[in-house]
Amino acid sequence: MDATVESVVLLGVFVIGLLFSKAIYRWSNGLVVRVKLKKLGYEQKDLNFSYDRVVYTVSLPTNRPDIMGADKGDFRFVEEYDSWIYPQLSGVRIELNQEQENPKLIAYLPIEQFRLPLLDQLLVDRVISGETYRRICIYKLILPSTRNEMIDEVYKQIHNKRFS
Amino acid sequence: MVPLEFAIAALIILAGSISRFYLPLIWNKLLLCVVLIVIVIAVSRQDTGQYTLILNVLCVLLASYSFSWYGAISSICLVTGLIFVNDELHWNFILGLLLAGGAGTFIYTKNKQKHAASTEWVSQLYKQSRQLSILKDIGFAIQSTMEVEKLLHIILTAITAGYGLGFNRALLFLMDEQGTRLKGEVGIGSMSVKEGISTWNSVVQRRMNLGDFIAVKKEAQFRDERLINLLRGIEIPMDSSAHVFRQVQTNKRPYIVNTIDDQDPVQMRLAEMFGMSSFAVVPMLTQGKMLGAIIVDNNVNHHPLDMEEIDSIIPLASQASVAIENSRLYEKMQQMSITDGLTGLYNQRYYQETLNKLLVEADAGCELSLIIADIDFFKHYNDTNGHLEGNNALIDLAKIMTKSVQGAQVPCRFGGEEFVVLLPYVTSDEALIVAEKIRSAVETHAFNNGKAQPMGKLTVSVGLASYVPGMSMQQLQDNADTALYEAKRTGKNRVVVHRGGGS
Repeated sequence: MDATVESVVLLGVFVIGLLFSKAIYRWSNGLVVRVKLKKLGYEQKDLNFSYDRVVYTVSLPTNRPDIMGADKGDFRFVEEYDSWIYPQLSGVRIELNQEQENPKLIAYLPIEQFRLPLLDQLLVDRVISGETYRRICIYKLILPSTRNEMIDEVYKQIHNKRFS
Repeated sequence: MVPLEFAIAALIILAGSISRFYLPLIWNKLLLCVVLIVIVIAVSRQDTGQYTLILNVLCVLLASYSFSWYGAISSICLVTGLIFVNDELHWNFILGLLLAGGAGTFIYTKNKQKHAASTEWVSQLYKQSRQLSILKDIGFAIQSTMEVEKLLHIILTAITAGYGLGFNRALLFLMDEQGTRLKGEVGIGSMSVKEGISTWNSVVQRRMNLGDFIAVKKEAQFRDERLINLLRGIEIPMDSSAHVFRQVQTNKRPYIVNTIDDQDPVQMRLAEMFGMSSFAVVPMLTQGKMLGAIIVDNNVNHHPLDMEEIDSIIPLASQASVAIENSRLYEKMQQMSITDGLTGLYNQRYYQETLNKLLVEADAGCELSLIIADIDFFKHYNDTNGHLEGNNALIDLAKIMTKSVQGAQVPCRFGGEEFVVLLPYVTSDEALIVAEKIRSAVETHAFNNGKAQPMGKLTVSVGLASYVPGMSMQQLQDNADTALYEAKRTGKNRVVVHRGGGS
């Protein structure tokens, strides 16, 4: 094999690794957490959580027609990372992404505010470390089921008629 | 055929690129730098000239971007060392590496500053946004009730719940009317870590936020009985000894107790009763006056208390103070609207409302009797002793009636010198005993200048009627009134029972 080709291939592998950092990060974190949970004797469905720490950037209840009239499908779950090369999930945003308009930030949840009672108990009992706590929270938060549930919750809060 | 060295290098790069995410951040960075160095070594062995130079520069750039100047220096030394071993060093090459190291360090520093500023900015915005949202929910909730207990529940829920400020426990003390004692009133929170996490877990399972919780009004009741029972046994004197509550009252500012002071009896008591190791006291102020105080602590997760978090309680404590003050005024007004101002007995409005309710029960089979009492020769008493003394006689009579009744029996001032007593759940014979008790107590009471009355003493005539099924309110009142009239007609100072049946 030609030396230049070899060099390009090696560098290519490296660059592809960098380009897919976030995807590899998500996948490897999931793998670590699944093993860890199995070792602890729990499943991902045992991890109860609530959306109480989500903050809204729009006033609730809102009467803005652009938000009230939006379909649930227009709401997007967006993961927020600290860095591209060394990605660490810092939080998640729910954005309203309607056609021909810039995305509107509707709700935000920083990862450190996503607390799970079961993990708190394990942390207090010193069964898991703070790092493992964070990894499990990240895993749970970006699961497809959680993503959908969070969009449902934001949509529900926007259409809540509690004070009207 | 793939060369072995190439295969090993490719494998290291692939493995490094994936496995770095299993490691903590610092090792992740180190591994990525190592992977790039492996590429540099592999490529430099092929001697591809300018290409190697670019890779070396990239290597220094990545190391300095990852580890600031530590990374820059280490990588420059490593790269120059490797080149020195294999080849001749050129000044322009070293200059290139130095420039890359400088650029990487610069990017690292700028990134770090930007990240710190953005984290701080987002964190502050997040906190303020949450506080605003909590205050809004609380504002709406407070408007929905005038009941003090519900108000306190809403405020403490906002302080303790995960969907609120998230403190593990909150205890509320209210000042007595004299302002000399703080009394433990209500609290939310657990007595142990296990209990706390279990409660939180059940709340989380219901997926409710603060607004939802407040909207479900039936939930608005205190549940932590053990905590509340302990709390209600506490009274803290505010007029003498120096302790943490006095300090808060004097300075009108919150105070954080990080370690229990064994010289402070209140701190020692709280530590002993509630297992507190650190806590904060927040005054509930309204117009500069301390109406009460809220204690918060984190007995479950042991998060340290800081003043910024404690400050977030102040608007809630202030709202609670105003709401409690308003609620007390409302209760006072409500009480005034059903009470006779002179005698303190219930007034005619309350009498009518209560009689209506009792008649519904009477129709369902409960006993009900009605006493009407009227002071004999009261005009004479007023003319002889003056209206002021007449008022005193009415007050005395009200006291006699209050002492003569018990349980659900309701004495009221009907108007002028006429009084009524509602006697539910007693037979007509038992009602007669009460009526006679009132009459004789009045007869034997030493009213001022009672001897000047035509009968030599101040007396009352009493009419008694009992409910029979199918009777209307008016009929019952008329019957009691007829009996009273009969008592007056037959000599006064006596009890007459209406025996005429339903009409």
